[in-house]
Amino acid sequence: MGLLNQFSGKVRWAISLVMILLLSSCTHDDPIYNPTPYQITVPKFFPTRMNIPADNPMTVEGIELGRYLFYDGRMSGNTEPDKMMSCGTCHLQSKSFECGIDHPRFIGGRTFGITGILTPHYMLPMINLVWNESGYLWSGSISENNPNLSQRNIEDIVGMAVTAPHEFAGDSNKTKALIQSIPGYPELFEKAFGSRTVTMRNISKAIAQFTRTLISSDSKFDKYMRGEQQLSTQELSGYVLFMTEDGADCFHCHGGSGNPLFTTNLFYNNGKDSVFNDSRDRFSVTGDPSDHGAYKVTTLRNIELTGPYMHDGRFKTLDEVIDFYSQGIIWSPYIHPLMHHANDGGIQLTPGEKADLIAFIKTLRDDTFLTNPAYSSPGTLPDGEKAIK
Amino acid sequence: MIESCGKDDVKSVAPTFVFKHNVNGSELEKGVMKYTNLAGNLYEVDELQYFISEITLTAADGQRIEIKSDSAIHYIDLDIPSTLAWSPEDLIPKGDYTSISFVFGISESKNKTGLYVNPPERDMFWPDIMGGGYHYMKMNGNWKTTGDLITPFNFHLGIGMNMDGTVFYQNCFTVTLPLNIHTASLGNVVTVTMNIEKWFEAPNVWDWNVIGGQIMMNQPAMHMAAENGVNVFQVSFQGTDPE
Repeated sequence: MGLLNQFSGKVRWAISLVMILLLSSCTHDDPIYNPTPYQITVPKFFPTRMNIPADNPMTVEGIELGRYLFYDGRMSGNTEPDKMMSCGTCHLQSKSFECGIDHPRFIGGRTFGITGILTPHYMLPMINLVWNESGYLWSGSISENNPNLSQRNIEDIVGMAVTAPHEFAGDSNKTKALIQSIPGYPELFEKAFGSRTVTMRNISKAIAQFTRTLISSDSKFDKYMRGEQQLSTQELSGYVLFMTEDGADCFHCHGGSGNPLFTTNLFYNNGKDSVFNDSRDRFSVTGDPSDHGAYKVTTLRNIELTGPYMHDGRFKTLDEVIDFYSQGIIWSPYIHPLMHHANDGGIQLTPGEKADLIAFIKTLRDDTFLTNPAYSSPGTLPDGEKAIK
Repeated sequence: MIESCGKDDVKSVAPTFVFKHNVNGSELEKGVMKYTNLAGNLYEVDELQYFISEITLTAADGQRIEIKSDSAIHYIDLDIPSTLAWSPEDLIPKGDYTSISFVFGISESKNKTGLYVNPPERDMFWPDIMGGGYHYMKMNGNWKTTGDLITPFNFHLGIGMNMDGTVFYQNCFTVTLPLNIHTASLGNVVTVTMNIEKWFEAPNVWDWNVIGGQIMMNQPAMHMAAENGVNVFQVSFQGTDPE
């Protein structure tokens, strides 16, 4: 005897209806939101703690969407070729996601937005940002300590780029509507975030996820540390200079064998000036007088490709940078005490020592990173249009 | 405060260590050139970061209780308030203790490169070519030279080496201080106070004009600093038993 036969006719009908509804809900063709978790593989010697917001876990689908958006000029809210702009317009993989000093549009590495307004500072590389806990941008203003809840992480920088006059100079509603209208994107948003409705927050989350995958850990120096490759005699001489207090003493701020990021991600006044009036230095964030003229220490990974150098791009070549640290340091009351040769004007390297130091610094070039297809332009966007290269 | 048993039967207590820094009794003011050491150097301290490890309490009956949480190592950074108090997971038997000791820095068996991969401890790393491991301390500041030049000092301690890099010296040292206490049911706060000036007084009078501002590659200077370091700390205790 069947189970239903144990009940009266009305009850049997009601139970049957419920079962039909249940079955129909199981067979309905609504897509199921089931993103695939993406786990960053931590390279040897790298930090295990990562800056990934709890409300934006990494997923394969989120990263895929973020890569498309990173390279889609319609992120500016425009479809006219001369008005399109995306992250990839300035952030070139071949230049370690800076624009480089030889960019055909941004002459000398000086970037500007769609309307021609100059960006306040020169670019910072986008390398290993997932391990930055000390704030983003030259001043570190984008950090979890920012009282403005919408200026705390990479997600927020994306949103700022869309509307900033010196970047996309756009309207987030316009961008959102345009992305929504492009065939293929709603499906990608649904896979990544469970909704076909495009929001600026989800656009930002996707691009931030992609950005966090940009990991450099395979330079010649990394291979040396892993015992896979030897450095040349000159490179080793440079390494000793880099790592010793009586040498060039780079490691206290830029890391080294004990800190493979090649930056502490902290902020220092490194003795470029004696007068400080930049409204976007570290002092602008902390209000601490000792932070006048202080900026984030940049990573030295791929540094040979990321000129011009310093927040204001004042040095065009690595040679100029080394000359500055050797003979061009300017003492001021705000210079960091780690710049301990300040009263001598610098570390006073010989030409041979400068060459050795640069030879070592060039071992931090990571061609695996610079050519990794997972970081490159997808070529074709979801609707078949061409992506920014 | 964690109690291992009921209020009326407390047998183990959880101590909290608080780290304070002064100059001859006055709380340290960072970045203010107002201190004069025994050698007559006017100086300021801008940054102070250091490790202490292997904190051990010796009981009246001779039993030694070592704090073992977090690899028995604690990092202190004036710019990171959360590091200025440490409540390890260890419980210690309630009772009478007569002394406290700790290692300033990290002892040889633990002081190996790779121990820390995350900041801020990671940024204390000491170059492998100079012995590896981690700085015991970084104290950065400025002093005024005899020529009235404000000049940076980097009072950094770690593993020393001889001139040709073939012999390494472990400059960490053990500080032992009397501590006549009876751990109580409440509180049990051990305050560890560093008197900055003591680094420059005895047995070696520290004159930056003679020694220079940087000592990482100057083993005799680091040895002198380590000798002075055993006199740098004081401890006090506060605990309460309910009436």
